[in-house]
Amino acid sequence: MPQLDFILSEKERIEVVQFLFKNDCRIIPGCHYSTSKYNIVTDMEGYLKYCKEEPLLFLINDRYSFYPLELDFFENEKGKTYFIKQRHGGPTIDFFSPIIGEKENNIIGPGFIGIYEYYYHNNNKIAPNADLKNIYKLLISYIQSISKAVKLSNRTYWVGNYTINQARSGKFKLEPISDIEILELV
Amino acid sequence: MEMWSPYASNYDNPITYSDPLGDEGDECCGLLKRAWNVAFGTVAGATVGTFDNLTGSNLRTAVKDNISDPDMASGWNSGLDGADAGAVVIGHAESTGGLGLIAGSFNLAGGTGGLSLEVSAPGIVAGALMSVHGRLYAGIGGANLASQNGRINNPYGSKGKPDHQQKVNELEKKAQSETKPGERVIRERKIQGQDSRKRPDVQIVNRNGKARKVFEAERKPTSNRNIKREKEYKKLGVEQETHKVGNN
Repeated sequence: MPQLDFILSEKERIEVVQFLFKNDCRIIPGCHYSTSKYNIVTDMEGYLKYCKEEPLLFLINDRYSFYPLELDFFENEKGKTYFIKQRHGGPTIDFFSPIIGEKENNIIGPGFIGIYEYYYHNNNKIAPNADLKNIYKLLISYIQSISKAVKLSNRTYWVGNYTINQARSGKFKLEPISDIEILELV
Repeated sequence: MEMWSPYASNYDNPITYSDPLGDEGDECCGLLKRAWNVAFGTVAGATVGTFDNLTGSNLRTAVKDNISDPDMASGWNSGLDGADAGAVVIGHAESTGGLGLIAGSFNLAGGTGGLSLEVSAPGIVAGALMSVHGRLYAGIGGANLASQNGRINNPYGSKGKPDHQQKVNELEKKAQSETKPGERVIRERKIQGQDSRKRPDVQIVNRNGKARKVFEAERKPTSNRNIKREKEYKKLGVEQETHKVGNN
C-alpha cells in the first residue's frame, strides 16, 4: 500500500491542492453526509469554501477513476449518516491531513497521501491504471520538493519547509510522533 | 462545486428504488460472475496442469501471469491441485498396470516334454512403456504438487479473502459510528501519528492526526502473531478491538 507521510501546514496544503487541480484532479471530501449524495470539488474556490474543514479527501481524475465511490451508512438516534467506503469505487488517491488541530489548537499533525495496490467495485477486485500511479508519483515528488525528510526508526515523514519555519518561530507546534519531537530531528 | 449521486441509474431516487447502497442490483449477477470465474479458473488450471504433467512442459507459469481476477485465481489453484494430485494417482496406477502387463507377457506352460516359457515381446514393450510413462507422469505431477508450481499466491491479496474484506467493511462502519467531532476513519493504512509500520484494518484518527483506536479483522485472534500485535498497540497507547473472521 504505497503511502507518503507528511507534515504540512495549511499554506502548503493549498499549494498541493493547486497542483492537484492543474493535473485535472477533482476532490471528494470524505466527511459524513446526511444524504446519499457526495460532493465533488472541482476548483480552488470550492476547496477554499468547503474543504478547509475536511481532513480526508479522495482525489479522482477522469484518467484513472472509472466508477462512482461507494457509500454505506450507519444509524443512530439522529438517523442515517452516510460515509464513503474507502477503497470501493474510483480508484482514488487518498489525501489525509489533520487540519482541525491546526485550525483550533495551532498543532500541525501528520497526514499522508496514498494509493492501494487494488480497489473494489461491487466487491470485484480492480487494479489501478498507470495514470493513477503516474499522478501519484507526481504528487509525492511535488510534496518532497517542498519538504525535508525526517527519518524515524520505522517511518519517514516529509515536513514542509514553511511548516518548519513556522514551527521554529513558535507560530505552530508539531504533533510529536511516538513522543519524538520532530523539530529536533530536522 | 458539483453534487453527484451514485444513484443516477435509479433516477436519483434511492427511496423509490430499493438499492440504498447502490450495489444490490449487481448482487445476483455478481455472484453468478464470481461462480463463473471460479469454474473457469478451475477448468483452465486442470487443463493446463494436466498438459504440463503429461508433456513435462511448464505452461502454467506463463498462463498464471495473465490471471488477475482473485476468484479465477482461486479456481486456477484448485484446478492445478486437482491435476497434480490426479497425475500422482493415475501415474502410479498406470505404472502398476504396466508392470502387470509385463508380468502377463510371460506364460509358463507345462507339457509332456516339461515346462516351457512363452514370452510376448509386444506385451513387454507395451508394459514397459506404460510403466515408464506412468512413473514420469506421477513424478512430474508429484514435483509440481510439492513445489506448488504455477500457483497464484494469496489470490485475494495481502488482506485476505472475501470474508476478511467483509469484516473490514463492517469494522469501517462501526468505526464511522464511533467517531467524535473532527475525527476521521482511515482504512488499511499505516497507523497514524506513530513511529510504527503496523497497518491496522481500520483506525480512528483524532483531530491532531494520531490514531485513537484501531480495529483488526483476525482469523486467529489467539495466535502469537495477533497477541504480539495487540501488545504493540498497547505499548503505543492506542485503544484496540480485534474481531474474529470466519467460524473456525
